[in-house]
Amino acid sequence: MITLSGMESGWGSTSRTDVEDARRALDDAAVARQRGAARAVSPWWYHVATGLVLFCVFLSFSVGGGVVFFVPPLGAVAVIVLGVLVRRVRGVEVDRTRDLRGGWGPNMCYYGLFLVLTGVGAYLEFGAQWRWSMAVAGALLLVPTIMIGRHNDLAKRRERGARA
Amino acid sequence: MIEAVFDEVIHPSNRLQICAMLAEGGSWEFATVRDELGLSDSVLSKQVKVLRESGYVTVTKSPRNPRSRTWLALTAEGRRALEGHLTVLRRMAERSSPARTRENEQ
Repeated sequence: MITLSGMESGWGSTSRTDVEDARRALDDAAVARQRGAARAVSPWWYHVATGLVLFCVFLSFSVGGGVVFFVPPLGAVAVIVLGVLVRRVRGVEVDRTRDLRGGWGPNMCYYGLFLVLTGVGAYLEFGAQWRWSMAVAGALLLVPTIMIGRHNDLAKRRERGARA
Repeated sequence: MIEAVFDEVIHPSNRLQICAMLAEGGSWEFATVRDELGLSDSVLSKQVKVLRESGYVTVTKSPRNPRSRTWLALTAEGRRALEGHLTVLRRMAERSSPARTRENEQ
């Protein structure tokens, strides 16, 4: 029922009932937004699984042989499957291109670390012939990958909560 | 820039809550919205139909499998309308702070 009479015609004659209606409507919207925000974050296992997939891809470079040719594409498929799983479990499809809401600083630190560890791991593995260097680089990236995922999720939840 | 416009389509409580929830993500499964807002299937269907006809919400379902899940999403137009409507409500709520109300009563 629409009771905000006079809204369209002007602000001057705002009655008390209208104000109460407006506040009630804002409260309803805030509750719905908070529920939505809580539901729209990824479950904890998503970030752990993503970190493990990344580790497996790095590990495959150390194992070598034919594994290198099918593990990285399989990893890409696994990430897509994980996204579909989260969508089915949570009932929400989140736009992950907006995941940098956690701030540029932490995300750039993570991507910088990713590039450095990949570069150093590849140099040691294939240049200096230090076996398992890529696997160690993947293992070192496991925790930061989980942490940055959780960080971005918490930032999104905070932002949405504040907006609500 | 958000245009503050009172939107009669969005304003009813259930529709406002549906839009507010959809605004928090990309696509939402029908059952998730129903459960989170505590609505029945028929009530949610009815409200979604109104929102869809106004171009505020899209409803997606696999054409091959009619029993598959139904997904709802807020359109860009729906997002603009929601933000505009919330802006109007906020302005209205701000216009009557407790001090102002007391002044009016005196």
